[in-house]
Amino acid sequence: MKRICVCFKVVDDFDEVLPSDWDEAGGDGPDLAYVRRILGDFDEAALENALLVKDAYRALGIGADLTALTLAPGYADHILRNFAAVGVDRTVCLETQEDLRFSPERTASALADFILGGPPPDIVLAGLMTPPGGSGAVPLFLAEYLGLPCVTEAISLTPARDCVAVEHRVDSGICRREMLTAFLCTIGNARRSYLRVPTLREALRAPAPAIEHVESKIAGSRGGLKPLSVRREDRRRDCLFSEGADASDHAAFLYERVIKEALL
Amino acid sequence: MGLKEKTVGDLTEILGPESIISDDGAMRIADPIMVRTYAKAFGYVPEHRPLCIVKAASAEQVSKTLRYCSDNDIHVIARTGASSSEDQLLVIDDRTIFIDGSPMNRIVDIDTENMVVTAQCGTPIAALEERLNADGYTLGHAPQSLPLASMGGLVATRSTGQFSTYYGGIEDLVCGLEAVLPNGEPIAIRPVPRRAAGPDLRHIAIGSEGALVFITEVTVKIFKWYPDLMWKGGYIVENFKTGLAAVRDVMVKGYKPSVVRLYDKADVDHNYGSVKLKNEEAFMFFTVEGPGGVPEAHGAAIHQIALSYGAEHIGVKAVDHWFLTRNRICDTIGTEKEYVKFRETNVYNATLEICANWGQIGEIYDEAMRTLPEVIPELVMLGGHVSHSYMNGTNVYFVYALKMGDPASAHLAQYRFVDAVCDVVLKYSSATIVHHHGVGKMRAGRIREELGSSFTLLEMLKQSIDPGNIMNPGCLIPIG
Repeated sequence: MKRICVCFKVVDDFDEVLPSDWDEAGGDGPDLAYVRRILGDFDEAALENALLVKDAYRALGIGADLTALTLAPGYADHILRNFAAVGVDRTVCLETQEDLRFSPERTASALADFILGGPPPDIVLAGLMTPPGGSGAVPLFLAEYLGLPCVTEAISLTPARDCVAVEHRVDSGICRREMLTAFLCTIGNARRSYLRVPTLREALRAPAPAIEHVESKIAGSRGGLKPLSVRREDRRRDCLFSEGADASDHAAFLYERVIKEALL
Repeated sequence: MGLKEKTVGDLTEILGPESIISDDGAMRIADPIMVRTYAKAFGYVPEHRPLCIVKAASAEQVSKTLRYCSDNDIHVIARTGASSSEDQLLVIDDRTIFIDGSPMNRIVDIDTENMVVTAQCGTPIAALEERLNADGYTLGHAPQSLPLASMGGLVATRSTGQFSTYYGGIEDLVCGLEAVLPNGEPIAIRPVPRRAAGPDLRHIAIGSEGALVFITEVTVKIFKWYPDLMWKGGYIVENFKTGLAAVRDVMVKGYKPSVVRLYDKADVDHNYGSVKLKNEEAFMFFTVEGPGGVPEAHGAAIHQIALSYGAEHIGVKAVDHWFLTRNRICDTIGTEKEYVKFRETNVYNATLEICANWGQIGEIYDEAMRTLPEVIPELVMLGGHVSHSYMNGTNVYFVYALKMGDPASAHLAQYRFVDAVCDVVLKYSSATIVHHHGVGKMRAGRIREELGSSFTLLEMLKQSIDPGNIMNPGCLIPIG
């Protein structure tokens, strides 16, 4: 039996915040009471890829148990209720009243406490990062706390009997490596990014979606871990406006100002 | 010479080469229509494609084209905005051309003394609305498809807008129109405030779905616009039925909200999401428009009615959220973003709108919600909302998602769903199978049951106006 654990986050859909609320937002950000709660994009991909791994193990004749683990999801029943129907065996919500925004160490610590309290997982998946406050650091701290090697920005996982082939993005392209379990993987721009959807019949046939709510004692960081260095990623983008009158003008602009410069 | 070469050659000679598009790439995407986009996401090429697209720049060009098609038994599908929800634009044979009225996009006249605007069929109503708003007026017609919609298509499909409870549907707005008959003869119905000169001939064109005439120009009412005075109120009610009772009370007491919407929990959770509901709770909201004094007075009364049904007032944020997102679906239709989601999830989201009197609409909603999951195994979600209310009844918009199978036959799942809803609705004497999307080819198979003994009138109209059945065969009236 293989044990797979997916860590995910339920967040507010910032695309739905009213412009007036952005304008009036104070230090705590805009009013989010009315906006839709959604799965973080990368976390949704992590869940789907965990299900694909489970499917692949089943095809190999190997049983797999999938736990979906989240911390303080808030209003999320409409998301969690279908997990059992798509193949998640156990959904666990760690509950806390503490504000864990911008606290990746403490968040990872709480997740690690839960995971280490049960049978050790073979594969742990997590989304690359999830705004707001998406530092991308939680999976990295979690890997350290669990004592697992970490593969970042995975785009696909293909289990075999004795290892798992992981494709992941690196600066120079896509790297394929074969990982022995156990390991942790962050899911980035994966080949499959949407979580599968059950039919109403499948949802009715599935076991009742017993969502476990577990009180989490958030202590401080487990300590002993500090980033060696921190730098701000350069995310600046340049923008050029073509003021041409027609498609021909725009094409000429594109060729002269973008393509030629890139080639030369 | 094949039919395509002959038709393209002849029409090029009649209209000039600049008016004809015939390359195969354009023909493959000529009918970008709702459920068919699902198949296209998988690279499926439509079985039948148009011979060519005529880009008609004037009523005269439409007339010449129709005369040619009538003489040569070429079938014609009219289009302006190039989208349709009920397979109106589906090509079902190999002798069809599109007449595309989008080049006829001129606002002919804005007459603020007589409060009408005249616009050609291809006029995008978003642009027209923006133009009117700049001068303090509004069309009062704002369908969800506003960013895509053109005047001709809205009239042809008997559209309604999200503010219809105050302004009315398109049939209440059209004062006059010009059109071309299948034999190429142009006709005009002069715009007047009211007429008692026999049956209202406007209604032969309104809702004709391209099966009777080609609409070239429309004159519609306009209204003074008071956006800053709008009253809004959002409420949570115990359940959908309680919400229906509250909405009915507002309407029958004579108040005139512009938007009345009531969502069940499944719809809110799946598509809307701005209100966190518990158990069977439902979300409803109202807006009131008009000059000073009207919104406050009607709003205050509506508020009291809502509270009398035990509603919890939740302010206006959720209403503002609806205004922010109400047309967002148009941003992704037919885009790669939508295609990727189709390919990964195999899920297609759609809607179906029906209408009935107050006395039966609740029963219909209940029966549909109970029976549809049993008969449609592909259902992934099913919810509903009310969005257009009247003195005597209201609509229900069934919102659903289907897990599709083979892309080439995926549309059959939607057809089965539509049929199953029709099976429910047609059992009720005060109900109709279609509220505002039109019949298209998707619901044409049920039009006889819908119209009952009056179907013969529709058949006679078709036979007398379009004896050769060249106008969108299979749309509105089934073949055979």
